Amino acid sequence: MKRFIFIILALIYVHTSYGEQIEVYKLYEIKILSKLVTDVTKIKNPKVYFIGLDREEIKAFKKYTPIKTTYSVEDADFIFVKNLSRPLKINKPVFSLDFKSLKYCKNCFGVFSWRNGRPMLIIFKEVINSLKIHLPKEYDYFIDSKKYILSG
Amino acid sequence: MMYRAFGIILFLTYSLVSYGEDLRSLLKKYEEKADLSNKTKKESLGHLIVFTRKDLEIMQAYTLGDLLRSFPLTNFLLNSLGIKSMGLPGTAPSIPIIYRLYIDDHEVSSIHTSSPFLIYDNYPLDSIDHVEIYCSLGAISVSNQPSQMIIKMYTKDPKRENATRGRFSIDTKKGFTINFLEAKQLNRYSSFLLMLNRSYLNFSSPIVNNKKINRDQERTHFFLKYNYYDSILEISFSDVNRGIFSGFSADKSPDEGEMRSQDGFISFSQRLLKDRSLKIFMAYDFNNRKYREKNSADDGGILFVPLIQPSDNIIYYRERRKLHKYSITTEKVFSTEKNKLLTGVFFKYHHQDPENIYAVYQSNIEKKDDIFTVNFYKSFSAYLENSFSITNKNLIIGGIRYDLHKYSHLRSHKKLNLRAGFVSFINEKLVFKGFFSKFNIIPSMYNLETAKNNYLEDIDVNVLTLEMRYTRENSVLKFYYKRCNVKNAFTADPDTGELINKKDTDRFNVFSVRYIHSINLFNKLELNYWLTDKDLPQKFSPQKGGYIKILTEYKKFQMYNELTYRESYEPYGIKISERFDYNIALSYRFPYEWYVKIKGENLLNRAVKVGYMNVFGEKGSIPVYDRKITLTIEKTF
Repeated sequence: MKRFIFIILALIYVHTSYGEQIEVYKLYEIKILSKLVTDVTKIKNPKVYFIGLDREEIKAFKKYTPIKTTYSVEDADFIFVKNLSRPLKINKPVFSLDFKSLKYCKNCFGVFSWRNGRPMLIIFKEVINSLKIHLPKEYDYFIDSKKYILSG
Repeated sequence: MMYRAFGIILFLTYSLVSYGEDLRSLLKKYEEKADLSNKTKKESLGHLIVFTRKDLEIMQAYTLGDLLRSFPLTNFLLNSLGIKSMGLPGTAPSIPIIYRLYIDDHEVSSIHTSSPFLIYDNYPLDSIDHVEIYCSLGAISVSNQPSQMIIKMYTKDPKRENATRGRFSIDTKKGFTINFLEAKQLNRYSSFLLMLNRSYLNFSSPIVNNKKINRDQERTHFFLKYNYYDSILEISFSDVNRGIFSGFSADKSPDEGEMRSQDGFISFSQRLLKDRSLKIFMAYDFNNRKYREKNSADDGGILFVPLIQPSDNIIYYRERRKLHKYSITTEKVFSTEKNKLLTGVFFKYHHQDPENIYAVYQSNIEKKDDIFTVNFYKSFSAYLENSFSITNKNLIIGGIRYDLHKYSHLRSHKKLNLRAGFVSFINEKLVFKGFFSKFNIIPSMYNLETAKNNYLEDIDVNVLTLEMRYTRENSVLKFYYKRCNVKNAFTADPDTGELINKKDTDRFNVFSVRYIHSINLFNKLELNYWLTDKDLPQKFSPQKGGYIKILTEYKKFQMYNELTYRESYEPYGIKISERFDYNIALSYRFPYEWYVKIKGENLLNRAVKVGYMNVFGEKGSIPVYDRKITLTIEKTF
């Protein structure tokens, strides 16, 4: 009986999710971002706030990760930004999802976006030091000076 | 679809409990899954080899020729005009009509000769994201032009570039390339890509009949792509000035000569309807070609077939051709869960401006403008291809196309092409594919201009292809078999040199095995061996070959090793032993996105050669590839 219920539930899931499937690579993207949130905040149930992302992107993040999202900056433990067009100053970990936004976000501690045909994850040494963010060793490869990106 | 959905559930379950995965591995997997070739390749349609963005980068493949030199099932050799061209194993290098080259959706093969290699043998790949090569003969939904092999170059997606990049390469043959690329997203709905390239390619100049022959090239390329919602506008221009190598000279060594080709196109594609299933594609192309050759009567003059006169020698030949092509394609895809039906119509019109052809004979007779040319060619095709999933593991594909062709001097003729096949997933590891195609390859305008009575029958091809793919955790093993029956193939009349149809049917088999092993996420090994049994009275090029490729990445360092093998062959009775072409490429990424790259080509100095024999009986062989080192510096802004 349990097996039967499981199959029914699985089928319902499949049917309801039909048409809303996202491409596999986007699941990896969400996974990378989720991992980043967990490793930066180091708290059990971090809350994430989004600025400038499409509704679909936020929806996908909410759907495919257990990390909670919030509608208030004050409540947030971590902020993702994209498509910024004016300066942003928030005293919380802010991470950019495009290179353009870095111009308006002095305290963004890193960026994850496509450049030169490859996905690039860069964590800015200066910013994480000033914000006292301590990351696991596996991030060492991605830590670089902000000037490498902005003044190239 | 159910399997896919289940797959995603399983993937999510797995991924959400496996947070311990290394970040670099995750990023690498993300890059692999996001590769644009995953969106464009149609693997179910037959035997396909993909060079991904990453492959091109590690290989340091700067030109299309860098990819094709090791490509299996074919040879990439110099024809008498010094143009590196693909050709069937065993045959002499020529101006082939059986290969089609595309930039995105646009076919760029020559309007006059149907061969893409005059311009594209060394086309820069700086604007290209990935290259797909289909050995799926007659595949309807891959190409609206029946052909033996289809090469598709897909341009970069500006949204993934967001960069300006400069490249400077210099090699030990004193050749150099300067390339500028800018690709950016302008706003949420529009983006552009711009590429400018200038190169001077120098090659060794062998001595034939006591004269140096040269094939040096001076190239300029421009490419612009502009995306706006689902519309894409592309503008391309190429200008290639090159030495004519042996040209048409009887002694295989002209006294003087040059060839300048200018090709360009403007294309527009638009996807319509909510599901983007309706596509309209329009394009205008032009080809300008200037050719000049001089060879003294003492050296046998020039053997340009349509002008040859038994009692007189041509000592000077000049042509200026202008050709135009207009094409329009409309395709609609009807999809249901189990069925996918592609329907389309395609029309193209080739036009040749009144010629400016001029020849001088030994007897001082001049001949001008009264040489036969094909003024226009038009073709209309209607096609449909249906893929039906009998079960989740079995797919059948059937296609039919109706072609109507008309050359300016001939009556119109109709042809019907057919294709049927299956794809069967025996289990998760084992896949079988089989296709049968019956199609025609039509002569080019140039073929008809050099043919006896300016008439040739279409080449009839019946082909069976079978493929087996066995996948293990980190490796893939692929077997490929092809049986080809070719009727009415073109050959030169032994008396006049004019093209005629062969009376016999060519029958041959091709076999290839390919093994790809991912040592880990950053290291890949690839092995290949292929052979064909085409029975030829003389073996002008290798009929067996293979390669070993090792692609390595370690943090900011990349390395590529490639050893290409070709069996021995005997053009004009000259024994050329086995060929081993060894190439190595190293690159390192420095801070501020500076890249320093070094590439060594033909390091063993045993790469493939082409044979020649002139009217005086002088024979020899010429290396296709020079031994050289190329240093490249790249900077991304």
